[in-house]
Amino acid sequence: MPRSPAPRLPSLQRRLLAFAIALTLVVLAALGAMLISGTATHTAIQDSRTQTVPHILERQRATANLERLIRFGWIAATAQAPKDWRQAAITAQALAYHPSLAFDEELRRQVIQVHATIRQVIALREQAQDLRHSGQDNKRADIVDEEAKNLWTPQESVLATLQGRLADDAAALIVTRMDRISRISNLTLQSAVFTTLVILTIVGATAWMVGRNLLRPVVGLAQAMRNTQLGHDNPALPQPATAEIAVLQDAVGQLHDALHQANLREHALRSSEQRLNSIFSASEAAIVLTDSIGQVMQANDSFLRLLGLRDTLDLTLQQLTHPEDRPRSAAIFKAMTAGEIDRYRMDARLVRMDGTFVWVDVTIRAIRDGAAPPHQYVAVAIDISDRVRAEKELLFIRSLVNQSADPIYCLDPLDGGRMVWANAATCRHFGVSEAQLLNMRIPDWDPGMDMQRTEQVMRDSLRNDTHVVETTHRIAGGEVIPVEVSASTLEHDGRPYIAGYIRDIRDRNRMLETVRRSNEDLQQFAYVASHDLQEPLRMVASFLQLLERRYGTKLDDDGREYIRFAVDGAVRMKQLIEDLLAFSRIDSRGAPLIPTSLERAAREASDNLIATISESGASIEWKNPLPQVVGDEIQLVRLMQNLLGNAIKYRSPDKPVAISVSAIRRGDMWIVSVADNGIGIAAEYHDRIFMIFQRLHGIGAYEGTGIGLAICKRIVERHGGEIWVESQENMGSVFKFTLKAV
Amino acid sequence: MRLWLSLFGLLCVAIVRPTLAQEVAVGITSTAPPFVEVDAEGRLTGGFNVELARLLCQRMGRPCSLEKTGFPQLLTRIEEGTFQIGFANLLKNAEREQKMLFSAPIWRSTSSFVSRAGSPVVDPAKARRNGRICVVHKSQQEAFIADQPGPQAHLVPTASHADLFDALTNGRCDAALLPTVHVLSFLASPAGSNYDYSGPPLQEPRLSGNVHIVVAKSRPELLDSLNAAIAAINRDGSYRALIARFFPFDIL
Repeated sequence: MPRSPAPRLPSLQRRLLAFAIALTLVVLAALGAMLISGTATHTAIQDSRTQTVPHILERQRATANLERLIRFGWIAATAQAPKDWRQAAITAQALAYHPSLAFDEELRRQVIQVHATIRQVIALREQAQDLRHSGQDNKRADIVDEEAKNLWTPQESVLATLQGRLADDAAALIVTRMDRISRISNLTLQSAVFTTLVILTIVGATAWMVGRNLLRPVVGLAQAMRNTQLGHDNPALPQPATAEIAVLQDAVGQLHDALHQANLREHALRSSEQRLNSIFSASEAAIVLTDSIGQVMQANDSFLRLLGLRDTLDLTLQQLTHPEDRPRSAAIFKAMTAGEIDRYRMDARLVRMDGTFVWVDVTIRAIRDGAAPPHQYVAVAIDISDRVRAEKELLFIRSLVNQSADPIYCLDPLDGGRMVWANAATCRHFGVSEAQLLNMRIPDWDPGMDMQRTEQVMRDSLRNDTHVVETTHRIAGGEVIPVEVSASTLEHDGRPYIAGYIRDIRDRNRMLETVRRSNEDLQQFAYVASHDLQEPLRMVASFLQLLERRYGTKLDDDGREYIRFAVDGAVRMKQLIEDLLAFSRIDSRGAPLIPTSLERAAREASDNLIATISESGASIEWKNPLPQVVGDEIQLVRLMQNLLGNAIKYRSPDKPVAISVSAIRRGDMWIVSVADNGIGIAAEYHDRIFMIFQRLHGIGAYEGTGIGLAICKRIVERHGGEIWVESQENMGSVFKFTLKAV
Repeated sequence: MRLWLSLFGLLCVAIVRPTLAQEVAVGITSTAPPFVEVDAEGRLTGGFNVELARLLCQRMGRPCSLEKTGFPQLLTRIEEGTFQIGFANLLKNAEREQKMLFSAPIWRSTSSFVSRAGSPVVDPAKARRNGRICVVHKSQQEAFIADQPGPQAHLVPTASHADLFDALTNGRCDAALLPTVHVLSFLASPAGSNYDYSGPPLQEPRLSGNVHIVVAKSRPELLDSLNAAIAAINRDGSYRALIARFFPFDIL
């Protein structure tokens, strides 16, 4: 969620406080108005109770008493019995002066006048009564009574008028009071309406402000929180209107960021857990989790496979450890429990389910909270059976090498050929201790080597894998002896080394010298024999031919045939002797080996065979120019001529001869191939054909003595190479030989 | 056993005593009809004050014991508190207010001189000088006449209105000053047939105004209860009916 620095914003609290204050003031004003209104209403009611109602009751009582006064007046004016009108008059006087008819001065005055009239009426009645008592004139008495009655009658109207006025006064009081109450009520109603409008306005403004400054932002924040919960991205929140919302938005933003980070961490943790589970499950290393006492809690498949287990129920590492290794591992466990170490690594044996054991490189790490004792251990075991076996074999081999009677050593070619390892035989060979020997370099024991040459030899050695050299060593006692050193280039830990094997060749040289002299004698013998045998053989052949010419006619057919057989034998023997002579001359009469063009030698050989080639219709394909080699050109011509001639001689009868000649380089040697499409050679004869005078066919089948390939072999070997054939019967042959490159 | 009986007795006393304490002693002056009516043996049988006392006691929900007494005795016993309520048609003055409590007005009174019919109208300022005036002892009327100039012998106090009418008809006084309403029954009776009001009621504040029931100073709660009962009988019309039974007009 994007957040920008919060500007100075108004406080929602202050705004709400302002609205609350305004609302409170209005409510207080309304309450004040209501209080005033209530007080006025109460006052009006109290006034009504204490004034209006008593006044009305006063007037009602006065009206009733006026009614009684009318009645008493009428009785006083009209009653027949004196007792009645006299009593009525007395009562009328008591009534007329009663306070109930004196609250109003006008009323009191008129009532007193009416009472005065009643007194006059009573006086007339008394007069009439006197007239009757005196018996003077009853008629006059009646007239006087009538005057009294007439005097009274208008007073009824006066009293009725007074009653009406009192009723009007009461009504006026009621109307006045009701008008006042109505005004108060109207004022109260208007105040209530006004207050309601003001309150509604304030409430509306408050609601608008709350909606704008609180509700909408809170809804937005709620949506943001929902988005955060669902892991959705949040759109940018609107610019906060208040400081509180800004704080909330900032808090939500921080919460979102925190949750996002927590999600990322959770995702990373889950991924890590998955990876760990994958590693745990797929690891070739056996992994096992144990509790604080070594009880196995969880193990991966590799662990089960390693120990041939189906499950790990009720197993402890102690049980799985080989009995001989348990004391060692128990001591280490104790140290881990004591907090002295957190992890250790050791080679130990674990007992498999079938009772056998397996060597493992086990690493155990304690899992603990702070400085508390470990509550879990995790062990990772790697099967090192092969390594242990190899180490044992290595140990055995080292033992063998160390105990070998032949000196075996190892040099550092980059350190002047310094000895870096030597077996006991080497120490005996040089007559020094191993410590002394490891400080010696080649010039220290080879008198023919100085440091400069040593470095050159080391460089040359690094270019060759294996090579055998003959040199001299100063051995124990200071004697210098010839030795043959077989050296091989090794690489260990990214660094080259030269391992050597020293062979004392004093006996071998003596034997070789004997053989060499024997060979020279033999060659001399063969040469002499063959050379000296040629003359008697020629003599035998010449005389046999002379015998046949002179006495051929005298001989019968058998005699002539015997002579012919003898001549053929002599001729063939002569050829054998010549071939043998040539064979022996390869070494004895050979030229020095010098850089020579094999191409030229091969062409010359081909030229020598031109007639045969022409006769046979053979074709020779020179696939590439033949290289320069170190050799004797005459012998190389003979080599190629023998091979080309064999290819033509042993051709297939049903197809023309096709010969191809090629050469490829291998290291410092050239491999030359002469391939044909001839009759081929069965595999069992591949070695025999190179032996002298060995023929695979009868004498009559092919010409020759069977010495050609033996000569080829002899020439190649004199040049330091090898020759062999790759062929199958009727599938043609490929003769290959190697020559040193220039 | 005796102990248990003693405890039971104490319990009964504790229960009954509050009930007895709630009974209200009501004194009613033995005035003339229509306020008080007595039988031949002098026992209260009816009258406006008696009926009003019963009606108010009923509305107060209190048992009342009505006792006839003289006007001076009633004032004394109200002061003592042996009467908690007194019906004596009393007007309020400062002296009385110090000694007793006054209820809401129950009716309005004026005072008039009564004298033999045809005799000259009594001048209040000269009444005591010109003749003997009967008044009820300790009444406002007595105080008024006592303030007027004249010989002391012309001030003739009586214990009650009945005694006052006897004194008037027996010639022990020439006129009597008493509440106007009190005279109506007397004037309507044969004994009062030759008597009449002497002029209109006096225009003297001390002698006219609201008539009250008095309550012992020590029982203000009884006054509240009494006023509530007066308001109640005013509202429900029973008081107006009572007035109509005993008076020819509304004396309120």
